[in-house]
Amino acid sequence: MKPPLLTNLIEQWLDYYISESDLITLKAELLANKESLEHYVELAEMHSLLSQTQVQTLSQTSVVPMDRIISRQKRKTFRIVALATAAILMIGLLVMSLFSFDAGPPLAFKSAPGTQFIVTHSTELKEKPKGLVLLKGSSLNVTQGTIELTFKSGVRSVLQAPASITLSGDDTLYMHEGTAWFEVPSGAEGFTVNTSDLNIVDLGTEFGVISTPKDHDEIHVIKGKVNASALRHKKEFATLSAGDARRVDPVGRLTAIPVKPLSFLTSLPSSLPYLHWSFDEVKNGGFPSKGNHPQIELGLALPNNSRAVALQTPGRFGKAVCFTGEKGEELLTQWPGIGGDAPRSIACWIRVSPDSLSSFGTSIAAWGKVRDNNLNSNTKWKLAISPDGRLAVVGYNGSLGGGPVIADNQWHHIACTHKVNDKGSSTVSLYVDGQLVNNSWRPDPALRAASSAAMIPINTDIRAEGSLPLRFGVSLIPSAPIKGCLDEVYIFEGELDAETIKKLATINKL
Amino acid sequence: MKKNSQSLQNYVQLMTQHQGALRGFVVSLMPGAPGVSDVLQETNLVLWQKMEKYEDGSNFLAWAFTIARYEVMHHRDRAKRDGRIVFSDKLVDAIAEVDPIEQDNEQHLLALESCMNKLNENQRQLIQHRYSKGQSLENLAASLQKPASALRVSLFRTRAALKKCIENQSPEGRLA
Repeated sequence: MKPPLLTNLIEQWLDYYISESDLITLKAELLANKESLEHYVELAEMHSLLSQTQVQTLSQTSVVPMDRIISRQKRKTFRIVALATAAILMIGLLVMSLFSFDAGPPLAFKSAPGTQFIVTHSTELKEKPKGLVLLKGSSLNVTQGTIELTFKSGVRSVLQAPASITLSGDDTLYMHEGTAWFEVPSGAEGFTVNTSDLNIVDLGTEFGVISTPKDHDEIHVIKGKVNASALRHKKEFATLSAGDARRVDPVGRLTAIPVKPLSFLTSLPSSLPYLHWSFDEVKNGGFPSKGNHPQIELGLALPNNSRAVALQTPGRFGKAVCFTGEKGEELLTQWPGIGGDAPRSIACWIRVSPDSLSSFGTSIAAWGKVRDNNLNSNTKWKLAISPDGRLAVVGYNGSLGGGPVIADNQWHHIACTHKVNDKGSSTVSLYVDGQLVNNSWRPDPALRAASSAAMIPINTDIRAEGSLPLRFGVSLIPSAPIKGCLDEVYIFEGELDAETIKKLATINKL
Repeated sequence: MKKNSQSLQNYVQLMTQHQGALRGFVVSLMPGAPGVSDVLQETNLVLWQKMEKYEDGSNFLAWAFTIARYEVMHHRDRAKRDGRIVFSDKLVDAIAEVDPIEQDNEQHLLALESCMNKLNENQRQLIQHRYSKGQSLENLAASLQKPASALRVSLFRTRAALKKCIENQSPEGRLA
């Protein structure tokens, strides 16, 4: 094989878009010709070198001293990083554990794939620590995904985004926000977690904490005992045992609530937390959700007033669910959805006929709260098909839509990702059949007459009274379902990359 | 037999020193596939666990490559189950037989940094998009409103230019 062709094929393979026939040719060439094989190894090493610059960038820039951050605050400062645990850290930890564990960092961490986080260190530190570690005064802000924390004392924690923590002392953590599970081994009793509402001191146990800025904090004891003190006015105190859970109220009382051990992850998942509905099986009268999300139990999708098996038809992969447009067929879950402006992604297969299009849009999946006057509607989030048959996402006091017409009675894979960029505005990507498509904003009907209508920040409301959990095939306003089919719905707590979406669109796997 | 502290120190030094070569080897066995860092980490863990079995003075790189190969095989089995295209045993064996070359990874990284500074803005953006952000070229093509095929050609050329530049800066010539 001539060198330019060989190089071309190798580069295609390393970039993972080679055709099957070219791959067969390349494999045969590599097996037959040692020089070609050596050339392959050389090019692979170049890739490795370039990807190491990524690892180095991560290990160097994910750890940013506070003084540098302050000086850059008004510029584009933080580089958000997504990574699997780097080998560089591994070696760092090995060296530390070998020679000087006593002098090692009080807290090391690693992240699940797809996780995005920023680490900042105290300005008092003379030297920036290397690797994925936190020292006293360091903060970790997780915008999506999951982090596992390991304290020097042996305490282990799994932290789910959105989360923000500060290490106040060797065994004291301040949780500004987040959902975290803690396992405190014997000998590490006294481990403390503080939130804006609560002070929690461990007495040798396993417990979870939920801290949300717009709601009251919760403590759930799974094993052993903890002391919990409310920090507000009444400052109630309680020693809680396994099976106890409390929510702190605005005046500082500890209100008993059901313990929810399943709300917490206890190990790092292999991807961003997600729920998946294949619609292949019917269980408990509905379609169960699978995946690695801790609230998976809430995902059972029940027909509002219909038999689940009657909705099943052959789908894109296994079975699908098909709605005929009859009221009662719509599927309702108990899963509240993803709130605020947290990053999210949804992907699924749909087959919708043109006659199912409505002037209000055709809802595929929706959750959140509908405002009474339906104005400035940024409190709901809905994946839909626009009246002209194109993919759209609603919830930005208008909709973002575009791409080809998909209401053509053919199966199409559609996906939408949302995140907030570092300027605070929403970034939405829409995909049709694995391809990114351009999208544009269209204000809500009530705003269209206003000359100055503009997008406002998304704030999906999943906690307020009247907020509705996830539903399929129908909007949040009582109405008949769509006429069309739905298959392989995935919802992720985080922004998926284009590669993963392409993979879902082709092999229906992560 | 337990290693003395000098042996331990040497072993850690060898592990650290050969991270670049190990990563390159893993990349060559699982091209384009995600999870290189995971496999590398698992390889490091096994290297650490098997430290006692390493004989001081023997070929560390060959020893590490054997372990890495096993870890890639494990990972490959999982990838196969996920329906991903992977290399055959025969090809993995053939790649593993290419002589490992001692390389100064740190020096190559320094050379790469210097070579990156010689790229123009478009080339740098392309490399950054592909490697630092780990995103597909289709994504960049959509945002730049350029065909992905054109970006692919540019990426090939940029990598080739970087490789040549690094080789010119490396005393040993060949990038390895």
